[in-house]
Amino acid sequence: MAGNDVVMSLSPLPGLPSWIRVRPYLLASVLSWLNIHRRYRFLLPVSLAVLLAAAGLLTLPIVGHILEAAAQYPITPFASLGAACAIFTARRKAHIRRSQVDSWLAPLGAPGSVLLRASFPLLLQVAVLVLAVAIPLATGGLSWAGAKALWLTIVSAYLLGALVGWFSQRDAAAARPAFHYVAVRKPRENWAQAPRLEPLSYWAVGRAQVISKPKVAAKIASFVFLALPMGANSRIGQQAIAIAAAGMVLLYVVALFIGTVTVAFDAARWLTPTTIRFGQFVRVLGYRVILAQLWVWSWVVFLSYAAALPGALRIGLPLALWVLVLTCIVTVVTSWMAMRRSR
Amino acid sequence: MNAPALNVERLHAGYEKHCVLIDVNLTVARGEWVALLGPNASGKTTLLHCVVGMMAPTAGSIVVCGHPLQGGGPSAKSKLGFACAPDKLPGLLTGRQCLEVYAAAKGLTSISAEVLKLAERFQYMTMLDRFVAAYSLGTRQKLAVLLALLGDPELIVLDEAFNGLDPASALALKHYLRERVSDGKCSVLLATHALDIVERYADRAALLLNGRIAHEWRKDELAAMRAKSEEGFEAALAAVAEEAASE
Repeated sequence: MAGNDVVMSLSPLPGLPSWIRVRPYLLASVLSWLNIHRRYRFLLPVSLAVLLAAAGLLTLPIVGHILEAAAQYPITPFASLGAACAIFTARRKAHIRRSQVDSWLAPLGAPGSVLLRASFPLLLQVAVLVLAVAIPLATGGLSWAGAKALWLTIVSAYLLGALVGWFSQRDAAAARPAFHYVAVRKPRENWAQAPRLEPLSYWAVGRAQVISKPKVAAKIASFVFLALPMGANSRIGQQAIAIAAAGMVLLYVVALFIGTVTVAFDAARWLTPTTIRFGQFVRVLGYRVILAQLWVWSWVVFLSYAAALPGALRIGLPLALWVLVLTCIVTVVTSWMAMRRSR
Repeated sequence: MNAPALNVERLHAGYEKHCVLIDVNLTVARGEWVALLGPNASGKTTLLHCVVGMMAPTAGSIVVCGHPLQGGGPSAKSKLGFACAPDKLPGLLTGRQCLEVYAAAKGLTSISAEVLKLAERFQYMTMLDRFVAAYSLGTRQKLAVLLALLGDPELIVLDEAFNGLDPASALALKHYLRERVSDGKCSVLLATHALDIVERYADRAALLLNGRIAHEWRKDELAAMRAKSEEGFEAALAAVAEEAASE
């Protein structure tokens, strides 16, 4: 009886269906999600509010027009959705296969529930997209024929994409470690005789390099290739390439922002037992980030000038200055918050 | 100068509504090695985090070498050395960069030859230019310990610092710390589950149970237990813990 009591108290949520309970990977995922929502109770109402706002946007007449156009030329949404689904499925499958080797549940030898775990997010995506078409249909922004065409496009693109992704032989090996993307610095000779705080500045830039790693940057770079058939000499082709280049710059700048903010908190925590001062911390954390941005923006301005893009130069120069000032402000404020929080 | 290396009085601390430390009093004299014992989740790490200023207590005072930790400026921290948890080390810096940054953040003009010699005894020098993220647990632990020893701190605070160390490195660290403590160069507050360290190296031991100091053993008591009982400190600790649990 006592043994039964123990078993009962170990059972996670008696309301969970048995087909989930017998699948450890699935059960662990479900419990993680439930715990996140229990821990951060605001998440559910916030998510619902975001969904309602998105649903509200879908009732706008312009969305109906765009969807109607997409229904008339279904090859573009079909190709985009199919490709996205194929990539997602291939990555998801590789991730699940990897988890069967390196997860904390791996030693159990329990079923990996590969098909279930791979298909659930896809079904969720399809459901969301189908609903996204149904809302303008219900509000009269989209015709019945258009909605039918779009639903058919979504379902067929996802079916084909999932099959292609599932059977593609993507490498399931472990991902490269983050430090793989960080530049290796040559050590100073007198590092022990005259230690400096300078290496701390590599940390934020290093994290930015990890965030903007080739795998991420490649997605933006792919727009350049998509733009090439438009012709590098044509106006529209040049614009497409310029937009992709701006995207690359934006990615790096955002990565630097994220790197600075996250490293400020990590570094402040790590250095709490030391006597480092606020001024030192801000200076050393920020200066290399500023230098990296100066380097990027100099190229942007120079290339805009060289390409004789007056519009780009007129926007690029003030934008560069604004972003630099913003970086300084973000560095100071974040450092202050981080040091205050950890002391 | 005569002030103890650490004086903790009526310390209360916790996370949100959960109270972890309740009215803790603890003193570490100059030239003394105090081992902090206790089961998992008894509050050892929380106490150490309060002592090094990584966590603000809800009540009570912490004085390091005569300098109050809260509101006392950098004086108290300049006397401290703390080995952080290995997973908190910056993975995107190399070991050399970590040592350099930490030394500079402590305001040191150089890294002492003694620390570098210990790094050699740890066989750590070959790992200096590798990213910390590529380190094993033991190598991270070595780096964390070396960081704690930078600047000849008067109070060294270690949180299960022997976990993951290979036997040779663990022995080198024990001898290094014991020598410095015996010479009166520093004091050590070590949270540990390794009872052999308590028996052989510590001058005093304190047992933390449910957020309170449940029992303390002086050096002569430790020696007496070693002599009397075959099971040594392990049996004595179990007896005290059992008694406290029954209360």
